[in-house]
Amino acid sequence: MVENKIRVALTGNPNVGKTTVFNAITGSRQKVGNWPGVTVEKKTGIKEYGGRILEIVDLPGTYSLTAYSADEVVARDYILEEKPDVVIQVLDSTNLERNLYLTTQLLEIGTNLILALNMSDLAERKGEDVNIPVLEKLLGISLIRTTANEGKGINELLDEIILRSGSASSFPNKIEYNKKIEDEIRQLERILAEDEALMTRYPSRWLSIKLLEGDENAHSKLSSSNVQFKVNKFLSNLISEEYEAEMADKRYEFISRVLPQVSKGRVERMSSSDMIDKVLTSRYLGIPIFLALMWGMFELTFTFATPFMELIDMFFGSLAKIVAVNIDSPWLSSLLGDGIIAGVGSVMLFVPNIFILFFLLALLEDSGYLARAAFIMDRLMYSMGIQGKSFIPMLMGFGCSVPAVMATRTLEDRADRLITMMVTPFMSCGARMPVYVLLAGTFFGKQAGSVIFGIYVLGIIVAIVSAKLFRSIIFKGKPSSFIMELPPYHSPSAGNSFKYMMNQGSLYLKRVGTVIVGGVVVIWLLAYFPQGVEYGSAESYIGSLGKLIEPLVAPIGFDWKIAISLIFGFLAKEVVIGSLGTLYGTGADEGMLSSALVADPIFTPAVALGLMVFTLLYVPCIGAVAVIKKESGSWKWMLFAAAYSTAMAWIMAFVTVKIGNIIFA
Amino acid sequence: MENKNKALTGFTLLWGIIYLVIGSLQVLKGAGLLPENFISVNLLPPEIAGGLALAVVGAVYLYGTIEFSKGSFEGKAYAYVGIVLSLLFGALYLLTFIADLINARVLFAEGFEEWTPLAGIKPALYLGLLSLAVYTGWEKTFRLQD
Repeated sequence: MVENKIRVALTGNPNVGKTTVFNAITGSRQKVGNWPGVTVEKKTGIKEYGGRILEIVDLPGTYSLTAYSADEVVARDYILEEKPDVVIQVLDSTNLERNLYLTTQLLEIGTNLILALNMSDLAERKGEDVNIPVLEKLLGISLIRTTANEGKGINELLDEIILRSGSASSFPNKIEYNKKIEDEIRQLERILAEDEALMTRYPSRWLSIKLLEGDENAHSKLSSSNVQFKVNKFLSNLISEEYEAEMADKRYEFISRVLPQVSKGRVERMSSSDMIDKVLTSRYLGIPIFLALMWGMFELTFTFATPFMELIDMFFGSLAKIVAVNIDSPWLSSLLGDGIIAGVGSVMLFVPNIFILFFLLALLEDSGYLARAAFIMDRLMYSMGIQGKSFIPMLMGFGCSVPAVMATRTLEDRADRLITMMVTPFMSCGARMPVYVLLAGTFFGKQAGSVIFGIYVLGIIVAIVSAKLFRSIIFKGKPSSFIMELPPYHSPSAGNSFKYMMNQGSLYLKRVGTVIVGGVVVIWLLAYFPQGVEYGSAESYIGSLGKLIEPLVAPIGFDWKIAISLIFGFLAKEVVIGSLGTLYGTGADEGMLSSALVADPIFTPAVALGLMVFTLLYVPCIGAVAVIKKESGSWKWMLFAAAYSTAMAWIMAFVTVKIGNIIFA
Repeated sequence: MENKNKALTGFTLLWGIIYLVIGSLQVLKGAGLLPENFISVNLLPPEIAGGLALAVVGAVYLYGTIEFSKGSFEGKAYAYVGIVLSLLFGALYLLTFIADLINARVLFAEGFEEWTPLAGIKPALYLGLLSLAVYTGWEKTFRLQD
């Protein structure tokens, strides 16, 4: 008999034991198929109990009812459109905080909800004692403790379904948003009330909340409504991302108020991982702590490397002296001394910095913090047009742009992928480090670490602002949503980090041995010839080439030597310093190159800062450009990336030098 | 709600104020808003980014004080992370001290002629060491469910 039938929807986060509850209720009487139009699994089952027929529909696992993925749309639409008599949410008792987020959304829809507190045996063993009567009172709904894999609590759950099937939802503690949002919800509710048919289908408060959050699926529900125009007009001046974030915060705030009252034993036993997560992913402190840690990393990279740099400097200095004393042939002595030793030595000098940076990045990754960094940045990045997942390739960009661009493959959406690919090279790769260390050390003394940190932060800012620009002009639309499981924190392994450092460091050394040696030899040849001119002078081939391109960079305050260094820096960014070492003919002695730069009137602190900014932003090295071509599959995007970054570099360096001239005057 | 963590509350308040004040003074000095001779450079080096980092640590401790004052046990998380950050920044300055010592006393590097061990002992270093002592005393409070 139809009136005997109770339709029950089973929902919950993934991996909470929902299928075990479903199997425990329905036994073998189940059917499996797909939801119409999507390849999301649909399981239905029948159970006869207490003289009633229960039709159980197992909905796809979902963390929230915000309609982003097909699973979330299916789960939400079933509850909204099919209006089951009872909804059971299965919760993992050991992870109540995350699970209750879905509960708050189910209550907002106004479902007739029962909570099945599953895995309660595990929770008990961990000493997590949930006070069921208090939680029932606070939420205004029934709770049943279950251990589905042993069949415990299933009959109580079935009794409750029968008991609750005829009653309405009575959630007493609706989540109160701030006054501004509540006012806007009320105004939207008033507009929506003009369409009675719409209001019989959907709860007005819920629909207003979703419209404010910018939920596209909710917008589509208005497509045939006469209030659509009014709603769109009302929403046109509001920024939905802000509402979405604010409302999510309020729901978590509600949960954090409820939990200590019902689960004292559990929450007072936070693990160190929970404690660290609580603070490092905090809305207000997360980003400042992230920046402070990044600063610490660069400060350590700069300061702890100095004794090692001093030793390398001494070694190459001695080598240059040996060459000068023992080789009579002027051209060979110049090739070895001014060319190879000066060029390669000035790059080798920064090997300790590169190694320390790779080691520290590996420690951060191994500890689980870098995954949090993506989580922390997600909100900011989403509002700027890229998803939090893009932050992982961007972080890899601190090591090297080539694997970082390749890592954009993990992004499913093509627009997200292309945007991330275009902006990833703005992350300052290890190859740029020698340029910063030399210039910051020479012109900013004790503040060098902070200046380098500032350059890295500038790279992140330019990347995010560029993403916003691309999203607004070229790739219109919204980025995909980002959900990731955060691994627990653990002590990083020094051994693993050391191995990573050695692998990455040896790649750097290989570059020094190949591309950079080749580059400096070419520069030496161009600086030494034609015969009879002064080495590296304006009359040499390189001087003539430099003079030709000097007008392009003269407005920034750069001269032909800097222009040439930047051109050769396209081979590899380290060559910028190798070129300067060769062009100034200072040998490999860092102190001598620093002194030569300080003595050159063209090099002021403002120009040094401008050169760092230009090196950070201009066309990535040839390897990265080739990978952009390969990954985007298009010459157009490769040329666009090269042109955009160089234009950005020119503008930013120009602004930096102009402002710097005022500050350092 | 009753505050069951009075000692930790006092600690987070005191450490929060110390870090925030020292960090802010370093920033002001670094930005040239305080005279160079305002407290010796050894005790209070002018450092904008370093000062901001210390101020962030101070903010973490003070957030913990606020949580404790609301009766929430979650203040413990802020106290714990505050100590972890204090130790990290303390370790950073310790390594910097070692590097400077090698430069000055072993390699006799240029620019380190005037360096003295006292000049290398920065606020983040001794505050980090003090935080280590505090952590050792309270280790059991934080080691709960690992």
